[in-house]
Amino acid sequence: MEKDKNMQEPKRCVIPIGPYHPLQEEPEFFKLHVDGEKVTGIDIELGYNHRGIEKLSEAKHFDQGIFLVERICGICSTSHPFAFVNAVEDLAGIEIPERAKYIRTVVGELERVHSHLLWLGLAGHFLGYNTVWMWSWKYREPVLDIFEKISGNRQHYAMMKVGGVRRDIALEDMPWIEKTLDELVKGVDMFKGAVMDDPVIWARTKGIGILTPQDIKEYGGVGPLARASGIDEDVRRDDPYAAYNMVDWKVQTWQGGDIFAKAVVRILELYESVKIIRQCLTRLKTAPGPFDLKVKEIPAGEGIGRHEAPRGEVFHYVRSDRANRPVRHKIRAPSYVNVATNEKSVIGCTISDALIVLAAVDPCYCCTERVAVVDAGSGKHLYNGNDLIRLSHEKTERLKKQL
Amino acid sequence: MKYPKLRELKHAVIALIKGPYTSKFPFEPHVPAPGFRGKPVPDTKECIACGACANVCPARAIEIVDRLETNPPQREVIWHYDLCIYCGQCERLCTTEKGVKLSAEFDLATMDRSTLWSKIEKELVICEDCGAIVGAREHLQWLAKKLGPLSSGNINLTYAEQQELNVSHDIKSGLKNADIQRSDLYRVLCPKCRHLVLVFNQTGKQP
Ligand code: SF4
Ligand code: SF4
Repeated sequence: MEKDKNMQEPKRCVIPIGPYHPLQEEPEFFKLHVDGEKVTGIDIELGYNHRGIEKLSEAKHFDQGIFLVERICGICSTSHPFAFVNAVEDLAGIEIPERAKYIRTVVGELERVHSHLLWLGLAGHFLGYNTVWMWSWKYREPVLDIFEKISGNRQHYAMMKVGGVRRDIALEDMPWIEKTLDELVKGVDMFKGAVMDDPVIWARTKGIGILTPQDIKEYGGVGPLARASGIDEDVRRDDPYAAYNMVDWKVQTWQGGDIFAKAVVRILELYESVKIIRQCLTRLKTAPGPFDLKVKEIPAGEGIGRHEAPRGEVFHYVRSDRANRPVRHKIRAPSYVNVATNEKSVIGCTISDALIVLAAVDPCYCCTERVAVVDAGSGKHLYNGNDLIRLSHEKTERLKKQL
Repeated sequence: MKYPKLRELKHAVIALIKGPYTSKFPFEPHVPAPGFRGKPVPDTKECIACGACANVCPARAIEIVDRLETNPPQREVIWHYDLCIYCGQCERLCTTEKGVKLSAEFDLATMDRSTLWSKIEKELVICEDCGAIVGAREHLQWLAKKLGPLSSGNINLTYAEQQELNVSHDIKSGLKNADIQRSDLYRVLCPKCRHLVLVFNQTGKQP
């Protein structure tokens, strides 16, 4: 009660305390300043979930550290290990066997598929299309089944290893995987249709939350976010690793930089990923040799590793002094730079669009639940995350009736 | 507006015919794919309590407890499932390769953390002189077998082998500060005490 009274008093700003669920990764806190319906400013606060991963990594063997960085994020749980093993292999000058390259690529791309599907579903949910949400999670499920089959778990695949991978992909599993991918492509076709021909989705996403190529350059945006603004960059092509330069695929870009473009880029990337996986599986049927080099020692030195995670470039730096643990391990994840671009994209939007604009970056959504809307003049606390979802749904309903 | 509606209708009809996509878990058990990384289950017969898995476990979920006060002294290797991340490192790097296996069991949720463990208990061999731990008895026996004839240069291993055949003496532990003699070479000693016997006593020098 007392708190409520405080809320009514005019203040510069109100900082709502909690709920900051510490169990969800990447909690971000956005404070929107609004003037009537228009967003006039945004405060982004990070660092609610500092887990000391870099320091912890210095206490783990190179082999154990992979499991640690795998747990930085639950959705892109192979991106960090991928970049980490790239860094250690760069440090030690290891060239991994062909088979391992293909397996790593398959795992990396399967992850992109399930991560983009997850984003599509949540974007649908935020727009009030809960059907799209359920569909995309339904089509995501077989991808997780593939993971369970080849790695032993739906998430946290534990496949990466310095010098190779931990598990081989068996020949007898491949027809099943290929069949599952065929089914998946049908689902992606449907999503493509849903985004491309639904006037309500057009109305909700076109011309909203625009990031110009200049904005991307200034903020250092990466991944699908940058590619949706027409910036042609992709670590997989620009600094090839694993099998990305051994298979045929294209970097997908789109013009516009609005939410529509971001959705289109992600959907097109789904096709590319499936294409890459198919080619890798075909080569794996005949690729000879070991899938692991059984590396015993890491020399002194330093190395960098990069990987194009579903959300953009993830970067790892490792320094070793010939012991079995890194002396320094620096990690930079893509969301860190991408979240900052919200400053450009969200200002000028209406509140009902703000949520999907913030979500278009594809940070972890549980985080956006912690949004608070503050009136720019009085500093009054107006909406929380759930209100924003409601507002967003209402706008979609309105549009549905109009169209 | 026509297309989206038709699409939804089509999927609604499919869903009506095919029934729900979701399964009935937990009322119907889910059977994971073979090779699933579930709860690690130690094997009392195959585990030799060497403790290698505790060294490689990234989550430090495996605890080694050495109990010197019991008779005979015991080593416990305890898997804490509330800390375990089901990575499979303990299975992959197990010394005997069979000491622990990841099972298909995944539904471990409980209200009581303290029930989430399994353990192996094995007898420890301790130094006859100072009482320090030499190793688990089965670990020494495993080493002796693995080395074959090469193990006969090592008294501790020979002893373990003989004890398995029931032809060895019992360990008299805690002969602390007894004068070290040359014949002590043929007793079960920790590396430190063996060093003393070899280096100092042979030249007539007492430690
Ligand atoms: S035998 Fe295997 S399971 Fe047993 S303690 Fe040694 S490494 Fe661990
Ligand atoms: S599965 Fe991994 S985390 Fe669990 S006990 Fe074995 S090594 Fe430790």
